[in-house]
Amino acid sequence: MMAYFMHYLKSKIYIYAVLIIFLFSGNINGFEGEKSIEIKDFSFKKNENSYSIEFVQKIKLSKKIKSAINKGIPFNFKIVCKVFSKNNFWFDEKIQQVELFYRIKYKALKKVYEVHGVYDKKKEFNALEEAIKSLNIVKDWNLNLKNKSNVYKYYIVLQVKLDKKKLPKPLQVNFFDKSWSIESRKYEYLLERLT
Amino acid sequence: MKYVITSVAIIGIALLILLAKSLSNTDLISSDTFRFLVALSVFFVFSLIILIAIQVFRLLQSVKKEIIGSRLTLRLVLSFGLMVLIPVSIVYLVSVNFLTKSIESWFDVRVESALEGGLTLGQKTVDILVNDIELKGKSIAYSLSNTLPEKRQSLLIDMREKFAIQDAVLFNKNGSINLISSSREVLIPPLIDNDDIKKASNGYFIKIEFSDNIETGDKEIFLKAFIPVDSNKSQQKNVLDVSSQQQILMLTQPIPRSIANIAVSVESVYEEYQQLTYSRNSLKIIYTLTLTLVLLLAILSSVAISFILSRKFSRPLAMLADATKEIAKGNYKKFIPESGKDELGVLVKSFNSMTSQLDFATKNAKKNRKSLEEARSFLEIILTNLVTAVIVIDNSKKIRLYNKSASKMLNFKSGNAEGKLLSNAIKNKKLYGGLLKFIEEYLGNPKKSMKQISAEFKFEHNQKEQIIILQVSPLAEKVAGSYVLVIDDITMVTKAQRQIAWGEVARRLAHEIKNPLTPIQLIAERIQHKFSKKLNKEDSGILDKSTTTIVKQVNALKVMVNEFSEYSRTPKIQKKKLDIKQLLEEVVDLYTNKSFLITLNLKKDSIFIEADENKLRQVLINIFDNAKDALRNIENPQMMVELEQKINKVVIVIKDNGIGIPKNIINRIFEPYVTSKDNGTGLGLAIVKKIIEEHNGTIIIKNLVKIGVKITIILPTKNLN
Repeated sequence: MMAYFMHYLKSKIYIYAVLIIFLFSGNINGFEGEKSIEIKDFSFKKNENSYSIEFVQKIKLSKKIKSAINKGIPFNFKIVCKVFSKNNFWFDEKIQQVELFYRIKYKALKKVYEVHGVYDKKKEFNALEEAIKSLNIVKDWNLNLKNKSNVYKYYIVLQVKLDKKKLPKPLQVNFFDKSWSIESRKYEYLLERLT
Repeated sequence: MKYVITSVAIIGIALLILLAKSLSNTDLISSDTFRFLVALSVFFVFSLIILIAIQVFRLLQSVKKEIIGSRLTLRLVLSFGLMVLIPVSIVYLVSVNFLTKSIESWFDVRVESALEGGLTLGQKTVDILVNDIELKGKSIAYSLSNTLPEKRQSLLIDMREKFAIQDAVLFNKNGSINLISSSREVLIPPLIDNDDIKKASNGYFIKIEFSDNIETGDKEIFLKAFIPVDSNKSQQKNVLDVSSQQQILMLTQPIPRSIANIAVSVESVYEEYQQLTYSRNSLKIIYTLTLTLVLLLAILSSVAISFILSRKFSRPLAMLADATKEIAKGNYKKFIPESGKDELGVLVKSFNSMTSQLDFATKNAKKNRKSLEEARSFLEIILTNLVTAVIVIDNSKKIRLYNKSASKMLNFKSGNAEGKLLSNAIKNKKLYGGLLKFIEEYLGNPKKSMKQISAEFKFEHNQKEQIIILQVSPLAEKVAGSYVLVIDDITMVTKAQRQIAWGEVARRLAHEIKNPLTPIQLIAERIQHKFSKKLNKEDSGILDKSTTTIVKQVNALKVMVNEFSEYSRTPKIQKKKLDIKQLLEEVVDLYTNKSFLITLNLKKDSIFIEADENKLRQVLINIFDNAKDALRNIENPQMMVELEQKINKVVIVIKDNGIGIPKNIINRIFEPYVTSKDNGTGLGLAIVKKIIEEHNGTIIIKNLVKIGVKITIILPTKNLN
């Protein structure tokens, strides 16, 4: 009963939150970008002292973005991974949040696409498609999760998005132009008790 | 409401400042904050719009209800609003236009072409240098591959110097350095990545590396050529030689610093220009949005504040108008709170001063009016209660003012006589003809009418005599043309004077006549006694007759003198509690069985008064005696006596059906020596009246319509019962 109520409340809170956000931000949030990044083949592994995740991300960039990259505008992406413990009687508790950053930039003088971040060192590619393709697989991303004895269910929320804070300021603040909002939807992966 | 508006306006302005800051300061405000600020600004804009709408609605309602000051407030709000709207709108349009144009002016096809050209130039330069190092590398690699290992070092040095290469390093496949040659004096042994070795094994490749010069801070570009070096000829001679394996030649050549700096700058500027190009629309939108929000918040805040200011300005005026209305209604207590030292403050102060002066003046006027009314009322009371008749007439003999006594004395017609001609106001014009004629003559004679004159008039009407004194005087200059008639009824005064005169006569008569009467009587009796026997029968008879006549006449004179004496005596009544009913019964008993019938109409209860019993008995006996005389020779002679108690008085009514009192003397019947009887002294009723008046009572005597007399005696009881 309580679980049902909480579920109902959470759903209502979401509605209220949306309403409040809509009230405060008008229809600004209506300009959220289309979901141009897709995550799939998620897997969760327990290593010796840690847990790691692995997934495939498929990034589809619009012509405008590709053109911008080719013009030398750096694009920084962020993978946000949040781990929550489920609570039927209260709000779910966020146990951990880890972020991974990577960046694609075209070097005009060198005529190469540099990819920083996911890998230990910078990589250069002659073609943009190659550079993007090199980012597809994210593996062995270690999460230093803390276990909780009284929690039995966990879930991971994973999202990849363009880090707009690294964009030029006018592009950051122009919430009317959704073409600069590149992100995936929030993927939720339910986990059993961490052992 | 004004606090809400002020708060919203202040928050709105603060938001605008933050919003403007957020566009310039990247670190201070994030995009999320900016979005939040924009959202908040929009929220406040809507809040202000709602607030203003409410205010406008209320103001219009006030105007509709014609509340004082609302129209002025509306006018001021419109004025303030227009004052803000017009310049701010112009500034806004100019700013947006200027901003858009400015942003557009940043981007020029020529600039872009120049930048692209510069970048291409840089790329071409790098390409040329890359080709150059590639050829040199290939040449060195070829030479090395065809040279014996022991000679390679010198060859490498020679060729490096020949091709002006900075560093030339021959790596083994495991990454170890085999040969090295450098133009630099201090050389840190270079390293090679495994990836580069692998990649170079498949064929040559060129790497371009960027670095910052620690000393100068300049950008440096290094070209690194990785070329595989075959060992075909050396292998043929000595297959066991380590160097017989494939090696990698790495040439490092910096691009000249000037070129590198320019190329890096061009690339950097090109990137920034591209960023700006992509930001162009966003900049326009954001600035326009910010400016629009600024405009809206500025206008709305100003309009909102204009409501407060307008109310502040119009409030004293509204209060003034309200207070003026109150004053018009007669409320001089209205006080407006003074605020500020400006013209409005001075106006309010002056108004308050004026109000207090008006209040003071009104109070004074009221006080004066009250005094005047009191004086007038006092005068009216005096005039009303004045026994003397007062009439004010004008030149045309119209009555301007008169009192009750005047109306009564001159017997005015019913209704208000003011404004009427005096002659028309008087009922019996014929009776007062002499008086009216006198007044007419007085007014008709200008010389006479300047002076005060008086005259006495005597009238007789309905068996009553009336004597009046008229005094006519012109009024003061202020009421010129008006005359005051003062009329005194001196009938009673005349009667009283007559009474006093008679009293004096009676007293003197009593004194002068009474004294010689006794010796006359005694002498007459002595003469009769002494000489009647000495004279003959005839003379004795004459003597007896004469002396008897003398004695009789002396007795008659004595009676008359006694009566005069009684009339003239000083009042010495001794009042005590007296049962008037019992007294009446006693007196009636004296006259019972006489020659007339007495009907006694008394109530059962006794009625007590304070009176002198003997005097009242004398009164009743005098009246009964008169009645007895009047009833002589009358058929069926009757008397009727009634006693009635009224509030604070008793009324005794005595009626008879006798001959009555002759008309010619009835008005003077109470005067001494007025009598209808042949042998009467005329003092009986005069004494009766005197005794009654001594008891503070009244006596009225009237002839009945057909026959007989009615005497009414009214005596005060003083609540004895």
